[in-house]
Amino acid sequence: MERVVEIKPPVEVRYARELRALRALDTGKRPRNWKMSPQAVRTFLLGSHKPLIWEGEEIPVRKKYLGNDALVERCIITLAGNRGLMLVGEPGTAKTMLSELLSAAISGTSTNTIQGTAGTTEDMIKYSWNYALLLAKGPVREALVPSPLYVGMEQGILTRFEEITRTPAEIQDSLISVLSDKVLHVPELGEEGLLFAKAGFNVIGTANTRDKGVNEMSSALKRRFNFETVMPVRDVALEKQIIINEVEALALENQISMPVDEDVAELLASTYHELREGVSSMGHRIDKPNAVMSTAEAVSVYYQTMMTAYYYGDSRMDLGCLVENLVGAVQKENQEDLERLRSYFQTVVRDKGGKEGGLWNSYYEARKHLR
Amino acid sequence: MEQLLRSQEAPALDKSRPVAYFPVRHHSPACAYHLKRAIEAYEPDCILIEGPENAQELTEVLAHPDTRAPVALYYFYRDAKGLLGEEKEDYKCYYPFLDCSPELVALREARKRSIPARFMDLPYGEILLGTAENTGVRREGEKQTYNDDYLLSRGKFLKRICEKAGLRSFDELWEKYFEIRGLYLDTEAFIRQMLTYCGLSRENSPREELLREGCILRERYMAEQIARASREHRRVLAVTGGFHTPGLLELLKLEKSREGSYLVYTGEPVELHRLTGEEQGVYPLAYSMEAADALNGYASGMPSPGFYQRVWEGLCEQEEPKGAYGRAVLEQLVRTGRQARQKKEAISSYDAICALSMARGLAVLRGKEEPGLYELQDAALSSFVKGECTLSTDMPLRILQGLNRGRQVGKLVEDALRPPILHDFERQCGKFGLKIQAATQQEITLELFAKKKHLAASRFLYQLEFLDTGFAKRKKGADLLNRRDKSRIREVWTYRFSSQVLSALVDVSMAGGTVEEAAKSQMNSRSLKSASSREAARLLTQGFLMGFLEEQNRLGGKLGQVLAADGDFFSLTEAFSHMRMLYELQELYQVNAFSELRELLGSCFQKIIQLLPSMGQVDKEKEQTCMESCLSLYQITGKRDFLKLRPILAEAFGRLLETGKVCPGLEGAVLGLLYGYEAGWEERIFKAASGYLRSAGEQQLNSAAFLRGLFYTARDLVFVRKRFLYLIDELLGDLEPEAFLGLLPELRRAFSYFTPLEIDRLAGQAAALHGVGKEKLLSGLVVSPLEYEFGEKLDAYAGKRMEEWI
Repeated sequence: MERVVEIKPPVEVRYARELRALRALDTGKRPRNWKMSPQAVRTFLLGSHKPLIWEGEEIPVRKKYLGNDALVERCIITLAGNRGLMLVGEPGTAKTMLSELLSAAISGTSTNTIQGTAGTTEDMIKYSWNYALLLAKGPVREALVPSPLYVGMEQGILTRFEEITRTPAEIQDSLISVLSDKVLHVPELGEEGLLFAKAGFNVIGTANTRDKGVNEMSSALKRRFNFETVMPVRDVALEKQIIINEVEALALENQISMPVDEDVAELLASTYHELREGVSSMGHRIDKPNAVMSTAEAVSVYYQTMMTAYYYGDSRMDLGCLVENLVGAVQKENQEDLERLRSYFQTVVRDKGGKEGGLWNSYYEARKHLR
Repeated sequence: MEQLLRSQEAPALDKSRPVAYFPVRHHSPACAYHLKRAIEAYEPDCILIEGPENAQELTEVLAHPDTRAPVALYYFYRDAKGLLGEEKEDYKCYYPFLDCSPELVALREARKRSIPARFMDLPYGEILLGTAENTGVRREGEKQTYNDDYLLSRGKFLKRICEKAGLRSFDELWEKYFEIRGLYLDTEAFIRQMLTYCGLSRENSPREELLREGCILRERYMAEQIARASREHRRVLAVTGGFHTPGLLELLKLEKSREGSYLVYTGEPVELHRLTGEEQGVYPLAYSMEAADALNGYASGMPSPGFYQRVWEGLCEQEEPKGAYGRAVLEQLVRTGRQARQKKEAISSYDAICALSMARGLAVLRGKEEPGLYELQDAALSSFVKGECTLSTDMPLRILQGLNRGRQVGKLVEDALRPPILHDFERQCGKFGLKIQAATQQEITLELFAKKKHLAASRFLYQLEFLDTGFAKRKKGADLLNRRDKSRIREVWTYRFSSQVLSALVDVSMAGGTVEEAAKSQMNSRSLKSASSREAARLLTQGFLMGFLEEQNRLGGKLGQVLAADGDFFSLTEAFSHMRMLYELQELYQVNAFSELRELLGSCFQKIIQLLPSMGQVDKEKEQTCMESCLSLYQITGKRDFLKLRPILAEAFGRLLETGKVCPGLEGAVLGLLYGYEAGWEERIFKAASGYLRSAGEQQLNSAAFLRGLFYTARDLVFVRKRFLYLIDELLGDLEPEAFLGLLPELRRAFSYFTPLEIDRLAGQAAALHGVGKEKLLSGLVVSPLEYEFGEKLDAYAGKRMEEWI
């Protein structure tokens, strides 16, 4: 049978070797039911200076979360404690990636996940029933369909709750008693209907703050979480590095054998950085677009351009195509954003082209694709 | 890092050695703690401390039990001979001491043991003279401090260590390995660890750079002092910044004689410039934690002195040093929670428990024995901030920041050497009932013209404001500088005492022994620099507010020169307005300068008259100012003392009109004034007005501007001369509706000079011309009170219902 290739394998599969090596070599104290010690989790996320030597092999551990190291450390300690972890911030700031990495390292799986939407109901959070079995056998454990939260409590692993603020506030609140008492009542099961959370259970929530259609969290629920605000990357060099890393990984997964052009990555990183901050490196004041200028978007703009070049072009990054993709990414909310992008080209890109020449000049010439 | 720090053997606190070195970082509780232990172990006969030696006499003040930290030494140097540059600038720097500063601990211990303690560094002026421009203590753009901890915290070497150890900054590195771990080491091991680190950072600093920064020169001088002391005393303890210890060791050689061993200085002797007491000096100052915080631009201190003060207090209270950081973290978390609750933030005890466990967990994860400042900040961020961290949710963090900074204000012993200006400041504050014991903002209301004392207090506050002390700010009252609210008879001032006020006063202490003297001399030096009459007149106003009677003369002389040289009409008229205001207010403010001011006003007037005829084509945006100037000139020539000047002014106005090219607004205003001077100008006004109104296109638009100018200065014309009203009415009636609408905005402005009563009267007369009664002009529906009441109720009800919807 042909092996199924996943578009995006889960973190624990993608980094299986690193995780195995880290677990095997881990000498630190582990909180109960954790697959590895907090130190090893930190190493998994923030990388190690030297490669790990395991079973005669050198296994480099690359830094996976670029940005704020202290934030990662706080997240790890929160998860070892009594409160849940809530990652909040603008879209595209790698909150989900961070929560996946943490779950994979701590519990060995990142797939025990509730995906919050406006249609999420309480039974999707707690449990529901297999009605055929329910009718056949009555309310027994066998007929119960556990939710990821149920699984997390039963097995002592982390439950991820994605986009928690998209679910209605009253549904979010069904988490309150579970998080404080660490027990879930299933009245239908009678005396056996008490599920006590096993050690190792905790919840990582992620929430967007800038999107439309998000709900406020109740203060009772807020009290059960430690909040971590994930900020957009403020450093152009770091943003460039993230673009390169992510695009390389995507290219590898999809068997696109084309090297990443660092200059183009830098160009894109500066564009995103300047449009997000509203000020250029040369001091121009520019209007910020309403669209979210996240690093994740920059990665996708680069990757799309790269694919076009790989399949239709000469495997070289075409700036015209890059600009076209940029328009698609920026012009989401309204026409004005395109005007803002245009004025960015007519001031910043033009002046940079004049000063630095080279790639910036070609970038400026590609402005004809701004439509 | 751990290996690196354990790698070097170091000189021990061996009592048989003539000198023991104790390397420190300023304001470090761990250094202070071990220094205390080192003094107990080594039992020195003399302690030498790194600090400019011209403050020697002040060691007693600093160590006195009545002196309460934070205090600072304030050094100044006046480059009167131009040794540092042609500009002959003044230089100053601070040397702050907190309770946990090792240097202060050394001074206090020496006093306790009745052994001499001496500063051994070059005097401040000499340090400056030995430092290349824009390096070391002469670096620009920084608040100058004597401390040179920057030597420990720079270089690629340090950056790499931080990267490798996963630490954010030098301060975090320092806290982890020296502050927290330092308390788990015995004193010998601590000194060894310090020396290893300092040795490494020294190896990574190029010698040329150290020479340029004056570092080597200072070390030579300090080594000389140590060698000298070792001849006089059996055991000398040298307390210096850690960076210097390796340098000192290089310059000193151990010699043995029959009496015992001592050190010999092997370098070249340092030659000093002969600086006088006029050129350099030093004063002790009460300082504040706020000023000592590294985050406030104090480049060489440790950040968050309030937190380290807590740690130090813990170290003093408990026998066992271990756990001091953990306790301080807990205390700060609890205090933050308490203060946040007072400000209605929902921070529970459980939040504090979670925060503490977070801090402890982070400490374990980061390989620290106990949580420190960085874990404290992280814990508060994680556990106290509910929701996204924004300005609306980060109140707990701001409270913690305040607590970590600390609020203490120091106090000096009663008879400390202080510049006389400080005594005067305190005496005056006492006299006027200004509270300077509290660091919170206070308020005082002054009845300027009812009580003499209040007027004097106001002058004192203006003097302090003039000296940029940041002590007081006028909240309400007449604003003579901007010529606003001149008729206010009461002033409300807010003021707040802080160490910055003292240091600002010390800065100007050479200018005078009292606040008044200093303000006067500053005013004189500023008046020499003022280039325009506008600036000079503003200065005169400031002098007026500060009550400098006898100074007005001298200033007047200077102003006279500036006036003569000034060719800017607007600057002159502004100066004129200022002087005129002062002239009018002098009696009220009990300042007697009639003759000087009259003279000045006279010469300013002459100058303006000269320039006036050329102002016809002034820019549109300046037209109004020009009109105001003309009115102001006209009004002052109506005063008894200046009546003689009115014909001259009228003549100048005439000349202005003769030029033929005058802006319509200005033309109207000047004609109005001339009409006031002589009724004969009436015909000319009629002619001009009908000319404007009957013209076409753009000129017609100008007619409203003309009327505006005219009404600005002579609105009574409409009432006195019915003919004028007819004329306007007739002309307006002839206008095409479109042209009229174009004119309307400007016309509205023109009529805004009339009072509501006058407009009413005018409208009545205009209506009468068309056979309509005044009462019909503004008739509307009469609403009965009952209906009105019902309407209000209905509105309120609807509003309430709509709120529910929203």
